[in-house]
Amino acid sequence: MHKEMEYTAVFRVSPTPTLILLPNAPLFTIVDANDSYLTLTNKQREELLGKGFFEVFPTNPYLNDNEWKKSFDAILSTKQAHKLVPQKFASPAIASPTHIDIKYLEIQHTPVLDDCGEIQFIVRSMTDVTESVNHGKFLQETQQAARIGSWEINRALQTISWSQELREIFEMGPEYPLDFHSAMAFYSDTNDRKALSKALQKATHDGTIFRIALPVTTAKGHKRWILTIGKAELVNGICVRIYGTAQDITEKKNTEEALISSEHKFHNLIQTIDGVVWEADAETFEATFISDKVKWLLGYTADEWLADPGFWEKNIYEADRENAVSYCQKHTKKSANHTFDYRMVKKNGDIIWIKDIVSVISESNKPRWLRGIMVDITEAKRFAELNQLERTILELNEKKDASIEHILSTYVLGIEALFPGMACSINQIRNGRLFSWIAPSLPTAYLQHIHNLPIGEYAGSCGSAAYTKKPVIVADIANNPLWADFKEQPLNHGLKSCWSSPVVNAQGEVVAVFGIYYKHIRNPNEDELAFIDRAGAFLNMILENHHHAELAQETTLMMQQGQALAHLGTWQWDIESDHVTWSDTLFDIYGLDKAAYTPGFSAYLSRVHADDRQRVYDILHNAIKKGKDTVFEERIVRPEGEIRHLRSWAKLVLKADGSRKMIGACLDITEAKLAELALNKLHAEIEQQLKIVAESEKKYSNLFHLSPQPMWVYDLDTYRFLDVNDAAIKHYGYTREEFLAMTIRDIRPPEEIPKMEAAVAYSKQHDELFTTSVYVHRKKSGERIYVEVKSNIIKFHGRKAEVILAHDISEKLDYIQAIEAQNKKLQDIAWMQSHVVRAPLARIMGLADLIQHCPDSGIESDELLGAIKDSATELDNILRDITDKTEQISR
Amino acid sequence: MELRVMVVDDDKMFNLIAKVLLRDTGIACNPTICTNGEEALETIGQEIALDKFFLVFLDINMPVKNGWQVLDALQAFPYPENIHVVIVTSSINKADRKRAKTYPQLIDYLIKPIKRESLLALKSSSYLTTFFSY
Repeated sequence: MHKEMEYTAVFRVSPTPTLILLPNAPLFTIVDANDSYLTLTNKQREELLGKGFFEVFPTNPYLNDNEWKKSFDAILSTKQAHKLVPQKFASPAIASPTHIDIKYLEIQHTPVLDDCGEIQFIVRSMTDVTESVNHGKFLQETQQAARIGSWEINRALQTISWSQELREIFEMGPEYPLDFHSAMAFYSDTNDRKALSKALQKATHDGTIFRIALPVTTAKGHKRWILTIGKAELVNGICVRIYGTAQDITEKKNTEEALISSEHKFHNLIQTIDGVVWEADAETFEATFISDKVKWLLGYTADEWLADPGFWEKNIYEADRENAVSYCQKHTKKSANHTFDYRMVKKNGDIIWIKDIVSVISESNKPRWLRGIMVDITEAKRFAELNQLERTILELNEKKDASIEHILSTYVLGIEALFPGMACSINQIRNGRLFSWIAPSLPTAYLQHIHNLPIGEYAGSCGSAAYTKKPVIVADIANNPLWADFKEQPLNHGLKSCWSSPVVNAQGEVVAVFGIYYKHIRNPNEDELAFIDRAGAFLNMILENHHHAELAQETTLMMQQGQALAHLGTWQWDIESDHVTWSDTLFDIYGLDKAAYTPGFSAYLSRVHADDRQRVYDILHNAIKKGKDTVFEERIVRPEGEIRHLRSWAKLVLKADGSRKMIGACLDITEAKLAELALNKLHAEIEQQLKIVAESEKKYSNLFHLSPQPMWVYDLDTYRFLDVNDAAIKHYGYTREEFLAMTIRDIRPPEEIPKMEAAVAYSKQHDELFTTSVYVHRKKSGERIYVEVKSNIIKFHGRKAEVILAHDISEKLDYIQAIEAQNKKLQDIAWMQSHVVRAPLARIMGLADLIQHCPDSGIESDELLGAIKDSATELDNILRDITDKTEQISR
Repeated sequence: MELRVMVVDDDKMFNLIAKVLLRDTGIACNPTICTNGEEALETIGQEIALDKFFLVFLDINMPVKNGWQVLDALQAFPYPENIHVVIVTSSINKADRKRAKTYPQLIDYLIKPIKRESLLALKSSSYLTTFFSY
């Protein structure tokens, strides 16, 4: 009760004229009015209280009552405050009651709702805007002074009349015919004409004042904006005339449009700033204002922020807290506006980057307020840091000694620093299986578990991403079918969400999978989704690059090996600076130590064999002069004096900066060269031999033809005689022509032919030199002769042939036969001597022995002596016989 | 085992002398005398048996069938290992000695006139000790 009284007192003395009404339409009973209202309306409180509103204020000289009624009705239906345009009121001046004060009041009707949301009271409050309206009016009048005209439409007389000013505004001459249609024709737009007609009709109908601003085209074709204000005069409800003014508001309109456009832009600007506007005490840093946008930024409401004096400091990310606060304090003390970046923790735990732009408002040279705007720069910040990280990784990647594992670990750790709470992994994919590779922040036991698991449609996030070749986002491992068979392991290690992105190479194969784990259930936001894609692409670049680098290394190695194997060395000569570089193989070819020798052009020339030096110098200078490639051979002398033969190539290269460079290669052809020289020598020797052979061939040809023994050459295939010598012709009795028309069969008796054919076949197969055999030949005369044949296989005019030397041994054989017959006789003699001659002799010797050693042999002496005599006679006969036979042999 | 000693020669005087010497050396008291090869072969062919052995003093140069022919024919006889042959010839031709050695039955080759010492040596040779050891 006490409070109520206090409120009533406050209400009564409030400077804003206010009236309190009941919502009991159509009465709207007045329940209270404050002093200002009473002053304004020049009424006593008693005149008003308990009366209906329209009872007290029955008419309004300037306004139709309907306006207020409409306003009340609007409140009753919408239950929302309703503001009317400033109204003009006449009230008797306090100082001089005869004088009427004109006031412009802006009236607002505000409903007061009870607990049930029903209207309890209507508060009618008035703001005195007389001054500002008067200012506006004055300005308007000033402007109108120059550009305003009047008009009238007489409905009764059906005439239309314009003032001279109006005609000037429309740039019409005095003769310009004017009727309703020609007047409407200035409004070039159909819709504008309709709007004007509608306003006129409405005024005609209800007598209200209308204001309408529309563009027109003057008689001279200029575009103008015209504000037309008109009112109809009604007599007994019938409109007799409409009259009013028309004002050229082109300039105002243009200004207005510019203003609207500018305001629009400003509005847009405000809207597009993703910032939180705030104000805080410069001493305590306690927030005094924070815009609602904070909810969007941090997830906390403005009230939550304002309720906690230390909110700002508390919610700064721990690592940045001290620096951010001290930075702000330092600048505030110096009253210096400042801008600084720091991280804040959102209500959901996410961390965002804030750019805080702070103005220090001072009073009496002392910082009093801080006003600022906080902008979320997380994306930009991460983008910049990610750029920096990627740059670092790329620089690292260029270092030859950095292993791919080191590079990837550095990248992963960098990513994890950028996204606090994130734990990343890179798994290799080979032959449809997943191999844990880089994961510095994941538990080893977990990594061991996933190592060497097959990929598949339902093989966790990474296994599935590798299988489908698409990113896989699993916000909640515990409840996702992809993890149904594997969830126990990650959950045991507190890993609750996993997002994976496959790294696909240029051939479309998944070579690795980039995995992101969080220890809470989490869906990626747009920035993170973009990052996942970017990380996949970046990793692919690193891995491909590494792969290519490996290939390049292998290729270089192979090339070096190839150079070494081929004894091919390469060189480059920067002609202007005389800077020369040699490949390792070239050093080897020259037999020089790379560490101890600095190649140069003159140094090179000194290594060239003295006999080749001038020629090589000329070749290279000519190549430089004419810009032509050149190939030449040279000899170089190694330090220990060994001479090597090189085939060298040189090419002049013009560099972009205009300088000249010569590049080239040297192939060590010493072995080939030596072989070539040896071959040349051999050829010379062979030629010499051939010459000797040619000479000897002639000799042999002579030997053939002049040989005293028969010789011929016959074709091994056809048996035809190919050549015969004179001795053969003489010995066999055939002429040369006869021989050449014959085969070797023709000089043999028929029974000898099989033997001959077997011998030829043997010769053909065995190609033996100088076979010797005895054959029977037949001369032209038919005489058979025994021939010892010596043969040899030769090429005769391209034919395989056999040269035959025939030695007639018929006579020799006759001698042998005679000797053998004689031998036989001698053998007979020997046999006879042995058996026949010695038989009686042996008997005599036996008998003599018997007589001498066996006197008692039982054989009579006469018989023994008779036997001796007979044996002696027999011996004599035999010796005579032998003498006869011997005489036969000698005969 | 019985050893039959035979002298095959067409020279009757030689056969007489041989008979005396074979008796004197204790090789045979009454050797069988054949004057040609045919006769010898007939004798051997009739008598040859598993336990019957022959020591044949064979001349080469004989009518009807000479010594070589006899040796050739002996190859076809049963128990040829039971027949031991000693060639006794007046030939000093080496070819004859060489030829004689080709026959498995040959155990000695003696040149006429035969000597006691040669016969005694033959008697004590390994081929004949079985017959003369007692």
